[in-house]
Amino acid sequence: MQVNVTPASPLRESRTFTADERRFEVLYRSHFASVTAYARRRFPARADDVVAETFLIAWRRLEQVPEDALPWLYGVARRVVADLLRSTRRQAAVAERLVEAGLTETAAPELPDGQLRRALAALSEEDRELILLVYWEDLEPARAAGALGCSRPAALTRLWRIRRRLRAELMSSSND
Amino acid sequence: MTLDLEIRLRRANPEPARAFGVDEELLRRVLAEPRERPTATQRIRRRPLLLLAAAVILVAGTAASVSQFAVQYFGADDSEPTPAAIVAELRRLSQGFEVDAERYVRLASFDSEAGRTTIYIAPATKGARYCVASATGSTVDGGSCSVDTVPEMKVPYGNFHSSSYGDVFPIYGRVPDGVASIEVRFEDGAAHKVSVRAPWWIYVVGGDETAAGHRPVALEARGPDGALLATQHLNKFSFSSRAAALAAIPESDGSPGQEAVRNALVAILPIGAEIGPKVRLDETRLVRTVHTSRGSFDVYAAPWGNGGLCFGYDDHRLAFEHTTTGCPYGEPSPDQPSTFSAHTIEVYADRSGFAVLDGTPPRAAAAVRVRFQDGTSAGADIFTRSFFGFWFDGKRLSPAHRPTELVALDADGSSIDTFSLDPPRLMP
Repeated sequence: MQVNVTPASPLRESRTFTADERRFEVLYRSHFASVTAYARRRFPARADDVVAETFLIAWRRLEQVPEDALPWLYGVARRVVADLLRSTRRQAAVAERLVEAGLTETAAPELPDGQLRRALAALSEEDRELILLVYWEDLEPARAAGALGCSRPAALTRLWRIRRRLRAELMSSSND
Repeated sequence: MTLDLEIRLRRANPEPARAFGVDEELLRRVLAEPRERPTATQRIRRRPLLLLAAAVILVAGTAASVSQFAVQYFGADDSEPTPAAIVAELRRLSQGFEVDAERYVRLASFDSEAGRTTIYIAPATKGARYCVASATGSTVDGGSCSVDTVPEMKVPYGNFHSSSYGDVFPIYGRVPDGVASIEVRFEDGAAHKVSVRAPWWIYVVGGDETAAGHRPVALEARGPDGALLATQHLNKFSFSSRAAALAAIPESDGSPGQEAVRNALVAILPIGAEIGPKVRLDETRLVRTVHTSRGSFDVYAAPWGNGGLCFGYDDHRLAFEHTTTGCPYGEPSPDQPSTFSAHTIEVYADRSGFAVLDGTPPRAAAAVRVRFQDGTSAGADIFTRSFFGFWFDGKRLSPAHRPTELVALDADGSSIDTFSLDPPRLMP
């Protein structure tokens, strides 16, 4: 099926676009800001690459993108960040900075709240991603579960435990 | 002063939400790319796990002979290459350190609910950390990495478990210096040696070993002369089959309240199995009905142990986000503060028009009340010596009526501490 893009779209030049292209454009425009913010929070130095690779994967796998696309896009972006970080780690200077900061694949760089940064670094990568999806990406727990490929009840239980663990870590470090 | 966890997390956000202009050039470039081209990740995942069948397999006699299901343990002369997808997973899992690409090995294979599962392990290039990952068939299950040190562990171990394993529970670790053998001791008094592939050890718990009365209860490390060097307690509930765990949770009479509490116990398995027998389901009571714009839900609680409460929900299939659930203990925790602490108090405000506030009461508190802006007050819906919880809806969240202060009372009803709330934050 062929559909015309909306008049406001800069894609409207002298051609028509397929339904897939139209669908992707809507997806891209709807979620570009969220994916960009996610990338800048997780890996600011390569944020543009993360955004580009994430949407490229979305385009190639458009038939797999669910109706509620944002959690799926976060899940893809997370893997892209991990891949880029791995290759970046091989560059010694960056790797040293990451290790010194106690930062790992999904932690935010250079958090001014050092106590919180250490508490987050003590979490597993998946737990940290879950809590950051909820508090930084403002994703409801059920949608965060979708981004991580776990069930909603599992995400809720994990969130409950993560919050308890974080509070304990913060309490313990504030008592040091 | 430590601020509330939610506020601290949100404040730590290095990139506050704002509008980013759409990158039109990127959109053009992406649309110019061909569809359906498999990514590198897909290519890796599609590659079959190599040579599984052709591997040299060492069956660790002691461990394998006593297991009630088929486990293969791999020894030093196993030369099976690690599948690329596992290598990728182990690298993904390692955080803040690198795994040593030259030293990936597999430790064991077993039949799980989803197929044949194989456990792989990789050490860090520096230090004592390591990562474990598994694959069932050609699907990577996931994995986990050890932490640097856990001082309270007498025999350090890891126990990554994927839902695809079903009722099979691998435990593994690095053989501590000076230790010649490690045994798993079971509830029924049996003891089985673990399989060692230096520097690693592994034991796969399954079959009858997951039934009540037969589960692992300890790891024992012995020296070259057989002397017991260390004993590590194991929580037998972590090795229960799902059937055994569910059997430990009391049956409900089918009423919404008992079902709600039972579901809360199931949600926190394996802890739910540990607490389950102590829960008095027949004393379940309705704590509160919370009205929202999407309908209402009921909060139920049942007592357990000495002053503990298990609480759950009947939300009439409306699927609310119940961020607070569980079975708080009836006794204060050893390190429980003597005053309200901001970082133990959490508020979750739901868009459908309710909020839940929970936290840890001051150590000596016998009750917690909340005061509202309109001068009224109410007791906590859930209160134990280690936990309190309030649910707010409708009128209690409207301007001039919102919660404004928590008050902790001693057994005589005298105020021992107060905590100022931030009413605007309680608006869904």
